[in-house]
Amino acid sequence: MNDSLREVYTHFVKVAIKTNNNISLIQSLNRMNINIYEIDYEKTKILLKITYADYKKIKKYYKCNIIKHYNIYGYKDKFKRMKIYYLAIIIFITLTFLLSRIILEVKVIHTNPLIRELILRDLKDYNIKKYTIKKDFSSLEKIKNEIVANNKDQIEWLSIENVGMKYIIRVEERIINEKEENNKYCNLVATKDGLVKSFNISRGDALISNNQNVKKGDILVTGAIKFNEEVKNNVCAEGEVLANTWYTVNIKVPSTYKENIKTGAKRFNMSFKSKDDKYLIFKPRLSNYVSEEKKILSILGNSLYFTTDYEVKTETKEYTEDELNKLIEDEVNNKMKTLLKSNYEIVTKKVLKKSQNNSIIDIDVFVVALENIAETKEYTIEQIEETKEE
Amino acid sequence: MFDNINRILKKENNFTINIFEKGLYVYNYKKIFILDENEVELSLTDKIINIKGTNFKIKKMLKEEILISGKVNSVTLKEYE
Repeated sequence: MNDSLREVYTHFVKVAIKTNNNISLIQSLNRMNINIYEIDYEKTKILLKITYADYKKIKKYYKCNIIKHYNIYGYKDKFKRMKIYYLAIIIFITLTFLLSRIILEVKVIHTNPLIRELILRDLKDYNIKKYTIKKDFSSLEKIKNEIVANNKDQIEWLSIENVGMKYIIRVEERIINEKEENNKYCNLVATKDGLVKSFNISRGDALISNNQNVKKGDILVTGAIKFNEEVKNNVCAEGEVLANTWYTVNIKVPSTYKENIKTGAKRFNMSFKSKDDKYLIFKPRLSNYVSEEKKILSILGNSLYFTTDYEVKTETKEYTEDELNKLIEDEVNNKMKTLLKSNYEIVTKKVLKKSQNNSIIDIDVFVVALENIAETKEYTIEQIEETKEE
Repeated sequence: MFDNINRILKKENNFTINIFEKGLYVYNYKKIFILDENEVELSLTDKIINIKGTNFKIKKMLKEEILISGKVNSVTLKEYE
């Protein structure tokens, strides 16, 4: 009982002592009154289980290393040696926990920017914004209900979903249908000259037929519903009239382009990108170069990149015929896009004139487009009667 | 065995020698006079014990106890001269 208690509470260590003569070593340990509880013999050393107090005594005379601590001291020693790893694990777990509780993005899904802005502003009041701690489910439910209640004229329904490190907010806008005014009468008139190709009328009387030429201002669909040459009713005409329209578009395209050719020389650099800015960590050593970036680290919207700068030689090259045609087509499409903001379709295009001045090509292109030329124009009963009198 | 325990408890100055097939155990020895692979000589309270054998190796050595492994050929107990 005594022995086992002593085994448990005494600080034992296993030490290794280098020796060529085991017997003389043991004899001298005996003379020093050292208690040896276990001995293992190896080729050039001897392993002894002794008390820590005896270890302190013999280390003054012999070069010895502790191999193992026994009992609770063994765990203490293990913990001491591993404490840096344990600390790193604790820090890692704490950081992971903290980061998983942080919101990095609040995204409102809705097509109307005003609604998005309204929701974001309201959420900010409830401290739901970037770089804040996540809220629990019941708080989110409460906030959601309060926002809907405060904006009941604009919001029908709202959901706040927590996905990873972001909140996704889905909103349904409340649409209040205004009663149609019954006393509103209108015609559909042509906004430009064109050749009618098709029409789709939901209200009113069509005054046009397919392949009919119309001029700007012509009434295409009338709101006055006639029967036997007599106006029986007036409505607001509604519909779409698709017609071919004609445009002459002038574009200027370069005949040459600059190409960067890598010389083979490269330099390495690092760059740091915040939300709005980008900084190079080292001064670039090449005068003319292109860069390739590889993301190393990204924390809270800030990223660190490893950059490879390739030195380039810039050469001026001429466009081939095919490349030039593609360029002209893209330019014409862009011009038409800015000219006709609503839906349209290009039917044909033809180059009218082409001239070159230095490296710029000046081109006039004739374009036939298919577009809706109908525009709603209101009228009153009085106006109709005046026209009749005239 | 109980005698041994009794004696240990009473802290008598008597010694104990246990011989096994592959070693021997001595209780209440005082000093080691000779220690090598083939011979061990220990002093007891008023006697000297000389053990001869082969492949002797100390396995445990406390203040009063010693455990030696090896093959024991002879044990001689002699009085102090």
